[in-house]
Amino acid sequence: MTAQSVIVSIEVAADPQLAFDVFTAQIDTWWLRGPKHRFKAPWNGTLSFEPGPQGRLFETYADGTTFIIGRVLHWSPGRRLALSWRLPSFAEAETTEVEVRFDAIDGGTRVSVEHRGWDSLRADHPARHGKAGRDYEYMKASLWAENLTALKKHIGR
Amino acid sequence: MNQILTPYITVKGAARAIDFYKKVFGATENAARYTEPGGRVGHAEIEINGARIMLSDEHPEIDVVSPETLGGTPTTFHLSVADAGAVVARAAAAGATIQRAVEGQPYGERSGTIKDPFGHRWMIATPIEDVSKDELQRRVGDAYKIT
Repeated sequence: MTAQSVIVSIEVAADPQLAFDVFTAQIDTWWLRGPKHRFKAPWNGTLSFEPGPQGRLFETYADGTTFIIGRVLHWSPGRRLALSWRLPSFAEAETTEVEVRFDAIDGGTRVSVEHRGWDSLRADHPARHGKAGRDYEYMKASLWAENLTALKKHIGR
Repeated sequence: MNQILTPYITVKGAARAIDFYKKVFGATENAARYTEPGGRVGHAEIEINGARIMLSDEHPEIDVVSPETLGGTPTTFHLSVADAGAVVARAAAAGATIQRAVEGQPYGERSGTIKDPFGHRWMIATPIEDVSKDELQRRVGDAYKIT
């Protein structure tokens, strides 16, 4: 199977630098809540984005434990961000990669997310929810679409 | 969202088409856009005066093809605007073909027809008066029977 991904993008009413800052520093505020979107039971985690080229994205739970979603692979404020991305069901060696671009457009920024590397997970991996190929890519893409829509609303306030 | 019938159109060059609809019709893009790494748009949504239209690039493998591939379109989008003449002029400047120039119509609007650069046909109209059935019959004479 060839490597597949779907790039999900949305227009937001903020310049690229502000969009980048909100995407990272305020991620817990705009990222949707509940089991569908948060990472680990009991779904009471707080998302934190440590900024910078050595930064990390992680969830901290009420009992003080954390789950590290990923580490920053590329950090260009106002332009581009890339990080590794793992779910709790991943084995030690399993990982995917998320790239986020911030492109200036009339009246704001187009924020584009490309989530790559799912094709490296085995066909019966729990993260696939029984889906494969294009169906799986669009299922993942629709989750990003929901969260980017939430980002757009948050920035629009 | 009360609009329950939404046109879902296919174009060759969805990203360019969205730019055209923004520039010419004042469309806004409020929803997420799905793009393959190669640039093919799998799904996008625009709004023109609050009316939603979905669009994508061609996906010939699932028989989703555009007017360019079909060699024509059976559908016309009727769009009400404040100034039909200005919108048609803007469309022509952006690459649309004028099929019928804007002029007064017996049924109470000024309208013209364009084919956009992607092969979709639009009737661009500005309402100017309410016309009763009797008056409409008088205006069209024997050409049509108004019922």
